[in-house]
Amino acid sequence: MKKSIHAKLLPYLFLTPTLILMAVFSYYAIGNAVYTSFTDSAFGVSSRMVGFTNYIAAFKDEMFLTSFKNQAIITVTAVFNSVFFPLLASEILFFIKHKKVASFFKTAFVIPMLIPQIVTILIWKYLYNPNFGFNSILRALGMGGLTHNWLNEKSTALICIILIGFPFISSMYFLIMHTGLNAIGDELYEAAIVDGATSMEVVRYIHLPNIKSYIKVVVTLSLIGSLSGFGLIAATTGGGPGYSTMIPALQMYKIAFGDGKFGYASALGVVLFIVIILLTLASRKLLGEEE
Amino acid sequence: MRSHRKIGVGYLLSRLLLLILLAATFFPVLMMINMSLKPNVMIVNDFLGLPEKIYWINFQKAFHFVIRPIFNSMFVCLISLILILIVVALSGYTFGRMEFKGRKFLYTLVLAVMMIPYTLLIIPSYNIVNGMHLLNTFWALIIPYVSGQQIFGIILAEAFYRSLPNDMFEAARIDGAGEIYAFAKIAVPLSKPILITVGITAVVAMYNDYIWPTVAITGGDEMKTFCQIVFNNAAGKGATDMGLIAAAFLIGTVPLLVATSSCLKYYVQGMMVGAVKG
Repeated sequence: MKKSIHAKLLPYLFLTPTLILMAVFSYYAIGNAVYTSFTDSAFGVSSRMVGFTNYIAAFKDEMFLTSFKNQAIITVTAVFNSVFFPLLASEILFFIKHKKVASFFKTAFVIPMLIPQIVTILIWKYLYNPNFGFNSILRALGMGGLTHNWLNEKSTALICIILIGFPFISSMYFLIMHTGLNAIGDELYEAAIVDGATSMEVVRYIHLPNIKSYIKVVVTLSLIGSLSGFGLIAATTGGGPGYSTMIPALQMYKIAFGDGKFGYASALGVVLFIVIILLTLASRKLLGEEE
Repeated sequence: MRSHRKIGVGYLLSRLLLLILLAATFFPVLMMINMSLKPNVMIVNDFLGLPEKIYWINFQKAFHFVIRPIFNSMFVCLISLILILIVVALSGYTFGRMEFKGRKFLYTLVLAVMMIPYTLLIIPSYNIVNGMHLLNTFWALIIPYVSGQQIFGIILAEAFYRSLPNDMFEAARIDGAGEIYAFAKIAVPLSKPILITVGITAVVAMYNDYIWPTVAITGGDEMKTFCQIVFNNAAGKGATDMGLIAAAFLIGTVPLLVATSSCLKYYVQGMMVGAVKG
């Protein structure tokens, strides 16, 4: 069957909006970011090529190096948190036979997704307030000596930020794990039942090997999310006290829209981009390539 | 068949653990509800205590200062949502069901965008929007949102359209129907669950975003979005009455809950299709 010109052009016509948006806001944008990183652009106005000056400055910038160390700690715990707790919850849910109970828990774990993240973050900020929140609890328990100005002391700020996510179950990751467990075919369980396997054995020998690809998706998503998101820290400590909770993405944002140094900020962004790509590739290698 | 044994201690412990996880997940929300119903003095003096008398005035006052930002957020989300669904359906269908030159290359370009961190794009997006003279207009939010949110949607929709059985489309073709008919009358109606999933994911992300609005909308408060106002509050600008702020949070959560709760079932289904694809 011969296609008319019209039919041949139709796919491209359908794709036009996507391609235009992608060309401008993704690919031109990356080019623009890389270009800007070699200039001394301020708020996007005046700009002069300055070569590698920004990159050299970045690697001498003590704050940037501390940022990366903080980021490493935050990311490791965030990835653990994104995999372990949702997996734990969906495993327990899997062994609940009572249909209504199971569906109640499932719905309950999905609902928090609908509460704006910034709202949850701010509630935690109140809980860490020196005058009330956790300190009230400690005082009520007669442990007034343990109170801290949680987010404003160098010794506690970073750990408090990490704990904001603990052991909060991310609805999205929970759903992915839940789907993974339910996608395992029944035939795999038959042998286990014949052998009289315990629940732990079912988890160890049937579940974990079969949901590897789902775990991989969660690891990749939480890795990228943790490395590029900075809203949580921007809203709680702003990177302080000093720069004890600073992370690269937030530093970049502050330098760009606080100080107006677009050139330097873009260089930090490009370095961060390269790190993210390397880590994503490494995590894929580590967890094994399948598809 | 799954095992049917009762597990005794393990049975009780596992359920207890599940309840603890659930409680930890809901703890901030419960605290917020508690705060919103107390006057400021009570929050400071007796943070954990339940309100002696429900203090509705917080909600009355909060309503006045968040209603405008909430409408701004809803307007931006609605326009973006419509555009996203159109773009996702068109591109998802094209990649999933049409044969054309460069299909593989163009689809790889779409997939590659997933790797670009949002942070890297903030400065160039600002430059682009600034160049279009769109700063401090709602289009400064809408256009980048459509561009960013379409990617995940196209990937989900492509998998869905590709999985549709061929004979449905063959039958229409034998009847002499064109590609546009097949798209509009067969594919789109069938893809309702997946489009709902894409829509919810996008709306949740856009409604919750406060980083991009603080960059693109820097003028007066009358243009600001809900989460932007909340974020500004966190940064120490604006009201310091915590009961009032908590009430404002709760009011701002309602539109999202209402808009999505009716479609939650579809969302869960759609996520499953998407997760299998990975």
